[in-house]
Order: sequence, then C-alpha cells, then structure tokens
Amino acid sequence: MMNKPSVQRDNSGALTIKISSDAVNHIRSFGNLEGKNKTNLRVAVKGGGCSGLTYVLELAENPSDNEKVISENGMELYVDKKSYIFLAGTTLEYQGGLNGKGFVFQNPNAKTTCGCGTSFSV
Amino acid sequence: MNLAELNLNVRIYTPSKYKFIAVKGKDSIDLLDRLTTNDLKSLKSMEHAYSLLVSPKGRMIEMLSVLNLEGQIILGCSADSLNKVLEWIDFYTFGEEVEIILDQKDYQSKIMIMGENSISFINFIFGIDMSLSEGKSMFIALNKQHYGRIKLLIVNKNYFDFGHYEIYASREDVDYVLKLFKQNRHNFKFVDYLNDDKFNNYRIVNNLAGYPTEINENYNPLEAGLKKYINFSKGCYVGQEVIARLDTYSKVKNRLVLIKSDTEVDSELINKDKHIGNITSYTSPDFYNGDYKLAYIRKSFIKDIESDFNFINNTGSEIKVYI
Repeated sequence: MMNKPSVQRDNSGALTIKISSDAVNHIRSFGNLEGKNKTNLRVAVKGGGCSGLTYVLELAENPSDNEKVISENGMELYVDKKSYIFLAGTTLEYQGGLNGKGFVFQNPNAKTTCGCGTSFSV
Repeated sequence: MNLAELNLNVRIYTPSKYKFIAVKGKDSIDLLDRLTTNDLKSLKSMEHAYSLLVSPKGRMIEMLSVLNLEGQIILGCSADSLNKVLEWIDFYTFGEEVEIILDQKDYQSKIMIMGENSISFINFIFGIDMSLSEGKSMFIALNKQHYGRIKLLIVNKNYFDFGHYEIYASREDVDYVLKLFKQNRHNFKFVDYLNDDKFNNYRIVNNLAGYPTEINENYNPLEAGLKKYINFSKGCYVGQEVIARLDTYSKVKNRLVLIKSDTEVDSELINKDKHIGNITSYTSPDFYNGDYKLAYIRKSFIKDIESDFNFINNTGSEIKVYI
C-alpha cells in the first residue's frame, strides 16, 4: 500500500500565515523572471542568523510531503510543520521603494529580531 | 609556582566525563556552522576546530570540539553538557539532512597529551614523527599484541597553547594505548598521569575555561578568553550580533584571570564594598595549598593594568591577580 502524501490544506482562516497582495505580486514577478508559469511560495525557518532562527523563502510549484498548504491572495504557501510552529500568525509583506526592506515578516512569535530583520528569536 | 617549568612535563589525561558523537548528512557542516562561532565551512577533511555554541544573547552553552572526518563530523563535549547540546542542535534543525549517532564505536574515549614535550613523547612511543600543525589530524595503525592492527586518530588541538595532542579511539584501544605508555614510562621521564582533580588544577593554573564552571550561560566567550574560537568574518550564526557588538564597542564586562590567595576567600570578590567578580574554580588543597583559583573579574576593576597586581578584599585577604 502506498502512503498518501500528508499535505494538509488549511482553509479555516484560524491562526495562519498571511501574505499581502503586494508581496504576492512581487513573488509572481520573480517567478516570471525564472520563466515559471505557476509560482507558489515555500516559507520556512532554519537555525542560524544572529538571533537564532532565520526566515527562508523559496519559489515552489507544489508542496512536499508533510507540508501544510495555506491559500492566500491567490497564492499557495507551503510550510513544514516545525516551521509552522514559529510562523503561525505571521504576515509576509513587501516594502518597496528606495528605503524599503523588500520582504518583511510581521511575526507575533518573534521576541527579538536582529538588526537586519532576517532572523529572530522566540 | 613556575608555570614554564610546570608545562615542560608531559601530562596525560583521559577524561572520565567526555562524550563523542558522530554527525552525518550533507547538511551537517552547514548546520553546525550556523549554530556556532567558528568558521566550520572552511574545515577540510581531517581538520579540527573548537567552536562555541552560544545563545542568541551571546552567552556560552558549550565549547564543541569539531573534527571533520571523511563523511562524518566527530563532535566532542563534556558528558554533562551532552543533553543540552543535543537539545540545542535539535531545536535548530528543521529540514536539514542531519543524523546524529550517539553510540558510535570508533571514538568512545580520548587521551589528552599536554605539555611542551608532548609531541616528543608521542614520537618516542610510536617510533615515527607525528608532528602535526595545529588543527590537523592523522590516522596511525598500531599492532596490538594478539589482536592484530588497531587504528588510532591523533589530533593536534592546542587548547593548551604550549602543546596539546589527543588520541581518539574506542574505549578498549584507549586502555591499550595507556598500557603501552605506562610500559615505556622508564624510558621517558617527567610524565604525569592526571586524574580529574589533577587535570582541573592544571587547567586552572593555565587560565583555561572549563565546562560548567567558566563555560556557562552567565558569561560570553570574550570574557572567557576564547576569542580565538570566534570567526568575525564568517557571517551570521546564533549570537553573532551580540558578540560582534561586544567586541567592536569594547563592551566586554568581565575577564577570566588566574588569582592567588593563601587565605580562604569567599567566591564573591569584593573590594572597597564594591562587587568586583566571582571565583569560579578552585585548585585542590594538595596543589600549592589550593591557593590558585580562576575568577571572572570586572574589567572596570582591572582597567588597563598590564602586569600582575595585588588587592585586598573586604575580608582582609590579599589576592594576587595574574594578568
């Protein structure tokens, strides 16, 4: 018997990960630059960075096994279970312009954030 | 006490509380590099480095001994800190391909050989030149009576600046090598075999931080004199921002120093009603009457003094500080 991939779809709207429409547009344009028709986003956390945990963003077409799938603003976000613990409630935004920081995570779980904003601690 | 003379002798020690684990998987080095202070990505095969696990606040969790062998990393730490180290690595491991092997059989124990004459001693025992530059390691094969050949791993670690080699092997082979050392003891004078207490004395008089007395979450590596195990150009790792700031703006509050007092002193050091530091390690009473200790002392008290000095603490004891 084959194991079914355990992809979980979250349509509850409860504590989840959100992405702004501005961020979606920028991710789509990055996807277009790479010649991808369908662009979704893998959002994850990895150990490291000054504050201990670093955000990871990666263009993706489909979820991997055991990833949670969150649909938001026409885009699917793929998050592994361990990363989800640290990202639940986060909104991914995009700050453009000359002084903008690019993709910004508004993460309510982050107690401290490093100077450049790419890592956090809980 | 003449330290220079003391360090000429060869000291041999097999720690009773030390643990090796193997870390395998393609992401091992990358993960350890992101979690610790030294540049491990540059560690080539058969090379060793010390690297510190620190908290996001820059406080020390443990100092890891990291040896890059073909296909696996051999991590060494105090047996007392092992669970904490494992929890730390596990917490920061997400999707990485990393496997930790706790009960590997090749390297279960080690022999530390310390002192300026350590390499002469090793060469004498094994009959070949095994001089290695710092951080390098090599395998040697040895004919073990009735058991065929055994393979030992020799590493030049240099935690003791004046000479420090280690032999990694299985517990059984470590016992065999120790027996071999002892059989040759009449051929090589000035060899001391240390137990845990004697090693502690030796470490203290050489002003070297140990776990958990000096290496703990109350202090950062810059205070403990472990700056040489921090790479300031490798980029981000856990605690990097705090450590870089402490170093750049000279914000390090304490300094680990060797002190001497021939009277009993409290662990808290007070001078003119001001807290100036804490004693963290004591030598045993049979070693120079237990006069030597390690203490973290406020840098604001030491100021820019560049030579040894004395002060009187609040109980009237005279304390000498070795700079």
